[in-house]
Amino acid sequence: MTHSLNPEQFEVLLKQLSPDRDLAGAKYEQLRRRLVTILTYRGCTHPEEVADETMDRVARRLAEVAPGSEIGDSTRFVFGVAWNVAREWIRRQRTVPLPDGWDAADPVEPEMPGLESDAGQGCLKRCLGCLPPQDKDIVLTYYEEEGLAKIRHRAMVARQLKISSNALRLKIHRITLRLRECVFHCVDTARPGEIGLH
Amino acid sequence: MDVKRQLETRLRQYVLGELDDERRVEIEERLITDPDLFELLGPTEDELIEDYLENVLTSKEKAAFEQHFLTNEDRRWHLGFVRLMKEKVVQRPSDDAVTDPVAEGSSQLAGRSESGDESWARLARGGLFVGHGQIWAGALAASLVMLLAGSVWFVVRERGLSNELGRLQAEHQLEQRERRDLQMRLERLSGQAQALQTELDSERRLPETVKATGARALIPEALLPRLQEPPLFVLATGLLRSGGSMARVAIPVNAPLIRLRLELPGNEYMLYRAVIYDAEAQELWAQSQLTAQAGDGGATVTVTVASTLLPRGDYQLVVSGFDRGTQPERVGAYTVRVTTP
Repeated sequence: MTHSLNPEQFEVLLKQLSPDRDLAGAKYEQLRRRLVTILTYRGCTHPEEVADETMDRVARRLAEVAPGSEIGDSTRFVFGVAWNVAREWIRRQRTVPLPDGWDAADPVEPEMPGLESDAGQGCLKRCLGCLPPQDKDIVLTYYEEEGLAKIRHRAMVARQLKISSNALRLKIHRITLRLRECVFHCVDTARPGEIGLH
Repeated sequence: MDVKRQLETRLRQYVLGELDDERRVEIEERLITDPDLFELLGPTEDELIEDYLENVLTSKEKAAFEQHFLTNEDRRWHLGFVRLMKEKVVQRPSDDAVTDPVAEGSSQLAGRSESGDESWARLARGGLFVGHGQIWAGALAASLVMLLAGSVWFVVRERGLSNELGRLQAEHQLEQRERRDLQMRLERLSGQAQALQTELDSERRLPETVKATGARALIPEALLPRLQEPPLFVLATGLLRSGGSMARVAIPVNAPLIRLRLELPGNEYMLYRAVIYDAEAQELWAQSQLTAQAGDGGATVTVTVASTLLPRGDYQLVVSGFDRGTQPERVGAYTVRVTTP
């Protein structure tokens, strides 16, 4: 049975992540996001809750470590402890993959009513308008080609921007995440006039 | 470079659920502790989404993508979003056209070149050579023209070479990727061939006497090890039909898999989800996107689970029904006691 985290234990966790409270908060969120991602890949139906529980357990474990103990890179140490705790959850699941062909579930054709409609396009147009012009240019140019031409085209865009192909991939991913959130919010509230990038 | 490519391939396999347990755990540990690798996961997912939308995944990759990646609403939403982006680019009207960063880069270069010309012209006009003969001015002008012509030639040639290099690099990348895909496909096919061979061998070894001597009649249907299909147990809500009031399942020792047919009170939903809990209410296993089959005795949902998942003990199965975009509703619960035969 788990019991709730006390403020002292939480403080120990934050201090281990960074003496700067804001930076510690950012690292906490980073770690939590990674846990949610892994848990989602593990088929966890409520990854946010399990990630929170994992973070609580990490904090309790850290509080048990004697103060002043030499632990080297503290961020790495915390992330390592988090991984050990998450692994315990993963082991408990004992998921055994099924052989191919056994009772395969019907694939679900993705269907997002809000996006399929004109509202989706309208929201995208508005959200693109909220991007800095250069980001808008880059993202629209990036998606211009398909297939073989796509690889050459993107290599050319990266060269023109004087960044590596990987850096371009990351840049596009970050821009599309922001855009996606904006479009989601816009379609969800159906008030495109009030949206903006956050 | 090779290590980087290997990691990218590994990430792609991770997203598709193609890694064995050891490699999966290994990559998950790195995803937690290595920020650079975690950063690459998002773009890898994006690229697989694009490949899926462009229909360039193999049928197996496509199935893996649907069954392993498109398992939650957030990811399906992201797929819809990327599709929307691609449609937007195709429909991009001229008034919405934006400055091409490539063209912009070129115009900036052109701008710099013009200002350079201006400064040279200013210098030439600025009276540096006032007082000298016309001959010097002519010679200087000729030199400048030659210098400019030479520079232009070098710039054009460099750009041509750079484009050629880029094209070759892209082609090389493409070839590498195709080779990698072929290698992966080959490995998968040889794995499948090996599995089929093993299955064939064990089928050959199956003692014919079981059927010939009528021994089958002595063995309950659920206990008979079958190579073609795992043993089937039919469960009604709250009890096992074949076991009377005792909800018991005796898993044959040599059955790696069992099938559980769960009877439903009706068939009112498009999709179903089954979850198995242990005695401490810990979720052990779950499968979504199940569809009901109609039969004489009503609708049922059948799931196949690994026998190792269910050692001796008590379990509860819960089935929920849902339509797309709605919250799941519980439609049945089945209590099971797993025993040894």
